[in-house]
Amino acid sequence: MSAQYFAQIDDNNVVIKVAVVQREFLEANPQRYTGRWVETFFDTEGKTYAGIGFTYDEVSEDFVAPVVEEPAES
Amino acid sequence: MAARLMGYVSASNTPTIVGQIVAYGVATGGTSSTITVGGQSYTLLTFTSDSNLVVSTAGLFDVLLIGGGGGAGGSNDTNRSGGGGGGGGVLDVSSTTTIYLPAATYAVDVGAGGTGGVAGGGIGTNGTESSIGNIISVSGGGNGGACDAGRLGGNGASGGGVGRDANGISVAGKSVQLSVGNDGGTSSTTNSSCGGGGGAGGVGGNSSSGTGGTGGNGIDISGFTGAGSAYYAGAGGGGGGITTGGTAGSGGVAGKSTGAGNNGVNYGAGGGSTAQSFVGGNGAAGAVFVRFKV
Repeated sequence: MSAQYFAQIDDNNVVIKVAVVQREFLEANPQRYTGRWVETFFDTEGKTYAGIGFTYDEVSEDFVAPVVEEPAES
Repeated sequence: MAARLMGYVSASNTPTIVGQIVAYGVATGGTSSTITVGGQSYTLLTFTSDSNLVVSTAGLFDVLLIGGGGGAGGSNDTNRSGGGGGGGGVLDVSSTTTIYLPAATYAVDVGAGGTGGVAGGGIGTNGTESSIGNIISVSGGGNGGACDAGRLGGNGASGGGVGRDANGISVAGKSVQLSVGNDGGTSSTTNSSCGGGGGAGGVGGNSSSGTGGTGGNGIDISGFTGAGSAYYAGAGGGGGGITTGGTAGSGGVAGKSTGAGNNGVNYGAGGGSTAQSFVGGNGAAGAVFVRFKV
């Protein structure tokens, strides 16, 4: 069985945790996995693997990385 | 509540019972198999995703925990590359970690790998820790940085590859658990190739001119799991290079000079980085192994 990954998102859809967990186990243990969880994909073309601080876009059903600020060094 | 042990052999967790020898316990959970190590038969429970360890008979258990690998840094442009992700910590192979567990159910959490930094010089994210209940845990690997000011390699079980501080000084991620990981590598020149992520078995290599640093070696865990051939966990990712990516350490993935960075494959392996404005590789998930004599 290949690993599944789920991201926990807050009220602003920002990722606060990523878990390696099968869907069935997550759904069977709501006391352990509180809040909102969205599946994310580690190695799938066209899908962004979620990281803490990323934002979940409900339209594209994908995760968006934080904006990279310009470096202080040129 | 039992103390949460971080990164060292948990002898203090073993109860002292005068006149008695504490035997190995019995448990279920994960994927069960029978192995033989050094002529001794064990039941091996392998956890590659979150689950429960159910101890039906209290006693001793050998444990091996591997944190998630760090994500590599993303590269900025043709003149900058990213650092390799740090490997997840590996606790503990050199001296087997044996803990005492009373009969109970323990939550097993498997550390997720960190995400590779986005193109444009984004840093990766740290891998997360693996743990057994509130008893024992090991950290994930540090994120890889980018060869730009303020985009540092992160600290973790093993440090991520180089970043630069506000003064443009090369700073590698540090290992926060020296018994389970090593520092990342640094960069030799400004705005060029980046260091490799540290691994559980060795430091990340420094970059040189256009070549990224070698990823730190992982640790062979086959002596614990009874696998017939070597399997290296917790390797750091190779650093991105302007002309040549850093080579892979044992169990790790190489850095690149163009294209998306390689994702870690083996347990706890950090992502490999790249150059020319591409995303860094993701770190691989960790694992938890529990075994007891039969």
